[in-house]
Amino acid sequence: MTIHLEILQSAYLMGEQTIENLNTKELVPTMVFRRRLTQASKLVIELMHRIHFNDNRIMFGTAYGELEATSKILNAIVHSSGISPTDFQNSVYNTAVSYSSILHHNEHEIMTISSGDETSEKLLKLGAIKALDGDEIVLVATETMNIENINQINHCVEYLE
Amino acid sequence: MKISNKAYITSFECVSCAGDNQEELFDAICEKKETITLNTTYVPETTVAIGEIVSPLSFDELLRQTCQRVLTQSHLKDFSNTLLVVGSSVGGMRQTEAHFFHDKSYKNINYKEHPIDAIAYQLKQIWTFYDDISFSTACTSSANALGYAKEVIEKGIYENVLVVGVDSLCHTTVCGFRALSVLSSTPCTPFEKNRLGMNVAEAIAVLLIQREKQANAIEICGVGYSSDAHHMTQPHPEGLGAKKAMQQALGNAKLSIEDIDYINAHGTGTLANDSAELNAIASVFQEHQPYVSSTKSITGHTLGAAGAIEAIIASMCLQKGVVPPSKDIKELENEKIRISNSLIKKPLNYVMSNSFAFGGNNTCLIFGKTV
Amino acid sequence: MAITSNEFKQVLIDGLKLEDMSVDDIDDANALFGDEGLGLDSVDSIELVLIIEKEYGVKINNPEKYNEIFASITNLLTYINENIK
Repeated sequence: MTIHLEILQSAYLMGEQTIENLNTKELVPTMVFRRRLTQASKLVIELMHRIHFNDNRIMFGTAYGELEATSKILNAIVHSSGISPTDFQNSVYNTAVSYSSILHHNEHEIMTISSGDETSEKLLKLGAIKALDGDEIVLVATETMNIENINQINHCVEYLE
Repeated sequence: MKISNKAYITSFECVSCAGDNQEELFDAICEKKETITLNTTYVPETTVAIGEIVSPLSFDELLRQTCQRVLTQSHLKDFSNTLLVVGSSVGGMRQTEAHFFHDKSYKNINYKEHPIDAIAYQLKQIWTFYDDISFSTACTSSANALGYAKEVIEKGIYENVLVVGVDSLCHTTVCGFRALSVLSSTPCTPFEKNRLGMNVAEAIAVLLIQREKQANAIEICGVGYSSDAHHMTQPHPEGLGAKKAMQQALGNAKLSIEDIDYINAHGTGTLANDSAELNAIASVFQEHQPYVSSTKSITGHTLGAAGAIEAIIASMCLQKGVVPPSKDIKELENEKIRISNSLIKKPLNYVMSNSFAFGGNNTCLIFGKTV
Repeated sequence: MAITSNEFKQVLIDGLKLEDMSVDDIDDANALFGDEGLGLDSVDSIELVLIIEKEYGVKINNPEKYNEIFASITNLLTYINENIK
């Protein structure tokens, strides 16, 4: 099946180590909400702002999810120190789009997929199939690998965010 | 031309703490067996109640065998014309933990065996699928996988979809839920007024969804999605998002509340989920009350696998004409809800299944018996 | 030696990651939780229990008294100073 899609808006951000100069403070004025945002959450909020879409269905993709929160949990277990409940709630793969949905009171269907190296490609296929319903959909993917000791396992990815 | 095929569940298999297969699981539910066990190895100096699979086989081998059993039961020769849709919240985390706890370093972690895609990666070593995609939305992962299976068949994109709902126990989830103070040290008692929390559990639930109907097939009649847009871990207290998902599912299935015979609730046993969910159910089902129960008192909360294993339970309820009993609720949280502590035998036409997740992700599925 | 208000408030700010806040921004008598107060939520209450145990070795074991203990900085500080070893 061939599905023709029209791209209405697009935006991207990249950083070798990290993506700086985000407008998070402006976009998320409530501090008690902003302080819990993961880097991926900040990226999603920034990107949604740039494309001016925040009350639509969102399809999100991430190959490795929230590595920072995950590594903090694993390290807490290894060192027998208490796990932060914030880290646990931030460790699910759909964390970033969930924060966006709360921020914008977006009650639509929001999906998260994770298919390794083929995440983006499969996100496009998913989006195409969803778009057959006739509405305008946001497709967003993030990868945030800038965590301590990532070089123990990363030997080839140049842009960590 | 708008294609609108029906999607049928034609075979299914599962492994859980309640048994090696779905017949054992269903018997355990009907007979209210003790399937949740106490464990002291996951959380230091603490006893937690978990749903652990008991088997001499490794988790990976169980996953392979469960998929093989579904294939054998089906009329398919292989999976070459089948889309694989995985729903998982932990993926390969258990292997990652084994490496990391041993090495205190990431160096031996295989990046293909860590994330959610690890499941598809493992299955693709054994079978060739037409394509694959993995959903990871915490506790709605495999419910969303099923909803997607319905969608792609309905839209004429694929003919066969293998839905694999799977999550293994791991330190991250057991300790993580403990950190949120929602774990119980005893088997969970969903919808009981003085409930103490949830039991993390593991399961493998595999369903084959096809465009072509088979005998005894169960139809996926409707799916509804919504987001709470409220809090990362607390559901909206009135269950507004859950209500919306249920109403969307009814609309999608073109059914009304009177058509639903039984609701297999998300019912985790936590204070927050159960009251919010019952508020939502009471709000949707006002003039007609279907029976409601949570089978997590037997399976535990299998996280990413919950949607799939509960779809299997719902299918068996429809096939056998059984409303499963609640596990001896003494004081019900919400008097407007219809529950039964005894098994009820009656023909059922439609069963609703709820799944709710972190981030306020809500998915409701409706299953129907075919003639 | 008793923990002072400013010491404790800094521990709170650091532990709960209250960005751009200083000890002067938190009134000792004001509510901490809910929209009328500082805006902390149920996850913060769990985090606080962990922080207080880690920093001061004080466990908060009586859930019935949570509301009272967590009502304000003053109440929390009183509880900690009463129970610190």
